[in-house]
Amino acid sequence: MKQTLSSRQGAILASLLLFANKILVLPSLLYENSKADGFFILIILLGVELCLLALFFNIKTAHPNLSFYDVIKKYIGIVGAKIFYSLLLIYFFFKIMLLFNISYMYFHVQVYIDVAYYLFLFAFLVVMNSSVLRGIRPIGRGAEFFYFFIIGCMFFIILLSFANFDRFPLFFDSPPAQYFKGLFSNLFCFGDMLVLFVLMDKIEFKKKDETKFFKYIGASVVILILIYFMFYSIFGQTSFIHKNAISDIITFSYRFIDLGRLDIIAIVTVMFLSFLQLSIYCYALCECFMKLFSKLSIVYTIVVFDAVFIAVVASSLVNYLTVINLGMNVMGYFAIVLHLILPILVLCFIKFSHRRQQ
Amino acid sequence: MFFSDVKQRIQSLKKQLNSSSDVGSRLVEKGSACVGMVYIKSMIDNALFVDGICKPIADSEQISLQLLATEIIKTADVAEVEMEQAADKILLGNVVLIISGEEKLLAVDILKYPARIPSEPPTSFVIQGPREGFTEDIRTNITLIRRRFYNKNLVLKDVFVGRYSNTRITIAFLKGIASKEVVNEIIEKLKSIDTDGIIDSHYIIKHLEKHPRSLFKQVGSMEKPDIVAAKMLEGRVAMIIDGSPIVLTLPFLFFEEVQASNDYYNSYIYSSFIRVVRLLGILIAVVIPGIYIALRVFHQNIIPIKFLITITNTTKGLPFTPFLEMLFISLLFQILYEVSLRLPSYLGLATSIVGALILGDTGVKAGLISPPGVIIVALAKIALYTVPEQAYQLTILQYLFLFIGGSVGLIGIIGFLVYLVIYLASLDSYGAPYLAPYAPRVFPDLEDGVFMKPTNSMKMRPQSFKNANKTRQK
Repeated sequence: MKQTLSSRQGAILASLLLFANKILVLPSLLYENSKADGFFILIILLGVELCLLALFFNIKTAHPNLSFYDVIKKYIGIVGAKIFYSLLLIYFFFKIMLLFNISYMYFHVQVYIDVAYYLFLFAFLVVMNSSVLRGIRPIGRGAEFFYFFIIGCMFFIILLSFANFDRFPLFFDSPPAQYFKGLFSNLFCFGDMLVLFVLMDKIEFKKKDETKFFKYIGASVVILILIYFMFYSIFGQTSFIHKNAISDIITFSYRFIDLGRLDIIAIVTVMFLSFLQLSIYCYALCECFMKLFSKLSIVYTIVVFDAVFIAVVASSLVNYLTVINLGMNVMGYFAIVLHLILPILVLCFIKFSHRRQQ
Repeated sequence: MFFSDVKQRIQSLKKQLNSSSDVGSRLVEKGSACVGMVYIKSMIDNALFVDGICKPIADSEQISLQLLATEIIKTADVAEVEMEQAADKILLGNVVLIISGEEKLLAVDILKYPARIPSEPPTSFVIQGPREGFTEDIRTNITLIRRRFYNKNLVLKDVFVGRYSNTRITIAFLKGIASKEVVNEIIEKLKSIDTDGIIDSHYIIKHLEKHPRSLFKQVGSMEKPDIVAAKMLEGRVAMIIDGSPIVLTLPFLFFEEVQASNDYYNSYIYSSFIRVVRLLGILIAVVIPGIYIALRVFHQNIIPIKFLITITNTTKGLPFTPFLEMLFISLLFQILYEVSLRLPSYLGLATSIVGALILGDTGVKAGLISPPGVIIVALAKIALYTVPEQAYQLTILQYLFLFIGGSVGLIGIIGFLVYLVIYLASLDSYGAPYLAPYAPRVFPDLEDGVFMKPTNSMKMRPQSFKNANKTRQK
């Protein structure tokens, strides 16, 4: 039987994915590339994310029972659908790689000092594989179960790190070209709403459910903005040094220093988030794979994914720095195609066909 | 001619019952008519047999099936049966009457066997609230439920399961509240069981579970009629099994284990607090030993410095690794627990002294185990019994988390916790999501969740599973 997600679970998945790759190293990278305007770039890119969400609503309303693959196939043809899904496959694979490496580096610095990379690989792969094999509904329910705990921890961290706002850097001190460069190089870390497109036929969605999505995703947007705001307020011009934003804002909260290492809250929150986000991405990747090779079952898909993932990790071709560099350069083009061109193209086709029908 | 026919049928019935030594028979002659009686001596009420059946037959002037059924026999339960059903009726404690010249037989139910009186079950003590518990006698158990519903909508249906035991299972539900679909599914499931015998209710649990290989309990089991009645009022179906003091209920949700009958007899504020404590107890029981190991092996840098100094001082010079030390203490506790379950009660005190004082205290003094290790294991093992019904499952999880904490650290513990929730979220019990009302979130059911509302504010029945009527009160 086909597993489905309620609109609330879909909204929660999207809401949790919004934190992926954004609460650890990104604030520092944004500052490094765009200085104070990093905050402004964040707001623009979150806007892009919300536009993607609006596009999702449009496509889902027009084709409530079709998968995104079928929608692309309908308008662009099977070859186009295969090409776009291949791009999505690579995109999700790289997202997983980036998230895994960033999480590894974070845990390595914070709590594991002399532990092998393969221990992390093993822990993450086991959870990702077994979750994906259980299906999207249990993953959705699991996310729903942990949602309030994760969001509560985030709010707690923000409250504890209440900062001196005088140090918050001013906007608009970069030339316009720098903005575009900043937008391009960080675009890959956004576009998490694409997962909703891949899961389109599995989400039960009614017209009024839009508010539900906006409510949950809006909460995540607010939290993200607050975290960045706190981060830049606390660290000011030294923001580029601090590579673990969510932990650092609480570690450097001098008022609560007597309570011990409060960053354990951030560490545990990031652990929960990483497992859930990686499971969701892995499921989305498997969906793409199964659409491309329709005769393969989920078990084969997982085996192929594991083999490729382990091979890439073991070959040492990809490490923390190369993943970030790739993300900021090559994957930016992928992001433009998938975040902007593809959804807009599909929407144009839908509108065009709708008008023709009228 | 009639006499020989009755004798033949008595012999035939005895033969069907393999001429067991406790099968008894009598032949009462009354003029030209006669009545043959076949029964199992150990299964009937002898006084009732003599006063209610034998004497009235001997005193009557005329004998016929109709007269026996309506006037002569002085017991409540008399039914006409065919010859083919007679042996089964005898096995159920009936006396079967064979009347000369009549093709049909009469079955008179005078079943009696030793049964204990309802008493407070050892697993569910209450400070305030009903104290009676189920017994091994199915009729007593049915009465205990019946007297809570003076209503025609309480429906009981019997299913007999077991090739050899032919155990009676009574399915009880409230018509108009329980979902017909669920009732039928349970009846079908019970009918499909093909096994030698059902000795206790636990024999059928695995047959009823949708995921029988799972570690987690998926069928509710309780020993108190007030709890069963409350579950039935929510739309659940109860199964009373002959010979077992445990009544089963379905559908079953994980969160039911956090609820206790006491909660509804106390202030809702206190009950909410206790439910939080129970949940904390589950969490402490399962993850604390694993976290302690993870902190000692992998994450010394996140232990507060004063605490770290204490741990270092007390664990200095121990011959075991932290993991082996914890495993050793946990197994020691497990052995003591198993021994105390099986030893006669007068030896229980001796076991406690040996366990707590000699093994624990001397172990620490001898430098084999550390005091923090003993405290952590003791805390975790005590916390297991905040939810006694889940203690066995939680014990297994405790060892798993211990192993994961010792080999992968905190990331392993959190990862396994995430997987565990995803796994539990994939289970269902007769259409009810196992982790409801939390995953998926069923908002109306949260009024009886961790934080409960006063009982007069619980207007709706649980929505997490199917029931025929959603409104509980107005």
